[in-house]
Amino acid sequence: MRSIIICSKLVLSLCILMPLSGCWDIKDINHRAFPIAMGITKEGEKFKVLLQIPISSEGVQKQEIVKGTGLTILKAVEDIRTNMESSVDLLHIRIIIFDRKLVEEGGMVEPINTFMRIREISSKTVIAICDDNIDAFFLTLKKNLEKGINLYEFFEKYAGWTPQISLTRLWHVYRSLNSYTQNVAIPMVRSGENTPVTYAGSAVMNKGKIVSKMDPKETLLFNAFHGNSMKGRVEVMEHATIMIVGNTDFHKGELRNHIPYMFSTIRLDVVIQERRGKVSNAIIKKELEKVMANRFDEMLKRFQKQETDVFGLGQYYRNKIPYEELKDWRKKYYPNLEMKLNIHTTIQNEGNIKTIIDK
Amino acid sequence: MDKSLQVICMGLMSHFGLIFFIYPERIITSTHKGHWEPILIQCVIFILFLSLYLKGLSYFPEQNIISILKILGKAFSFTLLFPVLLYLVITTIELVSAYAEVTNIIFLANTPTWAIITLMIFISTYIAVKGIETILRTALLLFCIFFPLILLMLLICFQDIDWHNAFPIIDTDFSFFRQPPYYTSFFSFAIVFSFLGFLPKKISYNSKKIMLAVLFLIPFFFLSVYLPLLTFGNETASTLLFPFITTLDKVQLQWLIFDRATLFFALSLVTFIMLLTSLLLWQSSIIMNQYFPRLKQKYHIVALSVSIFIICLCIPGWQETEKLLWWNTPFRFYILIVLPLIIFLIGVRRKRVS
Repeated sequence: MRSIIICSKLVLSLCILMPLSGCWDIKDINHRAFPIAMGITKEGEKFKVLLQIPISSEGVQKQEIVKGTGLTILKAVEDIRTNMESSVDLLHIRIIIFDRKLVEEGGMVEPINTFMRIREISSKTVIAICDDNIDAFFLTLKKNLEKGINLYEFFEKYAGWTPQISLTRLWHVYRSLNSYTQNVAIPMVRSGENTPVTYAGSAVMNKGKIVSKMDPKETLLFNAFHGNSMKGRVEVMEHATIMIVGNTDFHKGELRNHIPYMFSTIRLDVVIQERRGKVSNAIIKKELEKVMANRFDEMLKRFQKQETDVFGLGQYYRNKIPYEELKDWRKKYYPNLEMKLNIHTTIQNEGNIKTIIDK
Repeated sequence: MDKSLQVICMGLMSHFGLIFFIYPERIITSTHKGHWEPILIQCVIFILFLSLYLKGLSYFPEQNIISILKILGKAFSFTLLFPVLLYLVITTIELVSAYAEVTNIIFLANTPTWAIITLMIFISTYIAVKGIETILRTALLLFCIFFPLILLMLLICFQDIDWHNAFPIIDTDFSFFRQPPYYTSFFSFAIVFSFLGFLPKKISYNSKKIMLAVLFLIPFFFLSVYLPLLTFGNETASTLLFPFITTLDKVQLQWLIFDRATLFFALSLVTFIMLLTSLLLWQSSIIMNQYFPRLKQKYHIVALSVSIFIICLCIPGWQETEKLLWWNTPFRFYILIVLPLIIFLIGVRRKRVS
């Protein structure tokens, strides 16, 4: 009798193993497609979605570009799903590229909210704007990618990212749509000849619309302001070429008579690489500081006019302006902001050649 | 034998399970500035009444809460225990349906909810039938496995925080007292340590150690609210359903093996919740035993879990779960405040008499 009980218990516990396969409505990995990049544009009233799907067959990487249209983004994806022979899984999308036209019309808000809502797409996904015709962009991309280059590595800090590129992820964009005091800059790309993409500066956004632009040099400064490393950047000036080897930043905000004052310091460590004519280090330092400060001022003025706070300067006034009034930061306070930017340069070394300056 | 360690593990673990999902959203909804104030008030209430409860229980070293209440007479003890039973059962229903829904939202999008509910209830019932000692031992084991993981996840969340987002830091009008979500957020405090009163006398514990463990727990309440707040800022954090999970989701680390760290975090918390569910089942079966003493305890557990399973199936979605959380509020305060007071007063009176 006892052995029967033990036996039946054993059989019962073996039955528990069955649900251990775990997956519901499982689809084999051979029958799933994992797109890596998504392109979004608008055709009339409808969204058009392009997906770049890598397919490896017999050891050779191939790329496939599929398209779908629909009234919403997910409807367009559904359209692709219906037409594909395998199921489409958005889990591994690493980069989403918006058509510039769509963004200029303000059509970015809805897709961003959708992507944050559905959990399939990771909030770490890189967001970029395509400055070209997006169909042509994906076509050239496909050609280039078949040479074995990956698009998303262009933006990854461990691979192809350089400080001239603004690196913006889905959650940054989502945050800027809601935040009172922060806006976002999104990198713009065009199709390249030999490289997967050509970088064309950054788009400065306000409420999901492009309001201004930053060229790569300005983006560099923008990144420095946010404390991102500028290491290895080369700056060509009138009298010299220098390489930045280190940077630190410090910011302080003050509010006097409802006018915000901002005191910022960016410290740069540089190495001199080229020298034109006989100029002293002091001149080079001064020139660099002037170039940077002017560039920054010009940039800030432009953004203040457009009421877009990409630098996140409003963050420094969160403790100074009552929360109820912070809502109007961009309209009431930001345009009047006075910025005092100090750039301190330290020349770390001058390379292998000594400089002798005649007195 | 001193089982403080196991008891502490059980308590901490269940709290972790409750803190990171629903709690941050409740607090961020209930106020938009000075978030530390509501949390601090909750912590003070929690510590105060827990110490009262422990003090009250220490007057009766050989008895559990059931026999203590019997001093007042059978009718009294029945009525006093009934809200407790109700709260335990409703909480179990909430936990199971909420966490099944969470599992569904976070990682098993295609799996039907009933399958997840079945799994959760089945495992919890099995552990509960094996008795309190098994529950406590399992707690120790799970705690050792998952706690380092949870600490690591908390650490990596500090990745893109901006301290400016903590401002405005002072809220003078205490508007959160008028917000229903604030009262439901006591959910994360009320239930767990009530099990101390149900422990049989062979499982003894050191009250001081438990209070120390609770102090250790307090920072985690702040972290769960402040990490999302500092990353996203109040305006954005208040739009998220699971602020902490989203914060963890956006962590970008090249050297971390898993692309989505959230999955492991959420899974470990769900195991914690399963164990808490089994503890709650065990507690309610003890109370049930008072009402129907003829039935064996394990049949009580099975009957309870079957009825809980059926009720869980009748809950169609997330909104209903939230409503249940709100309806449960009076019982929550009963178990958080009234019960410890009663135990304490009985203890004091008894001491005076003797």
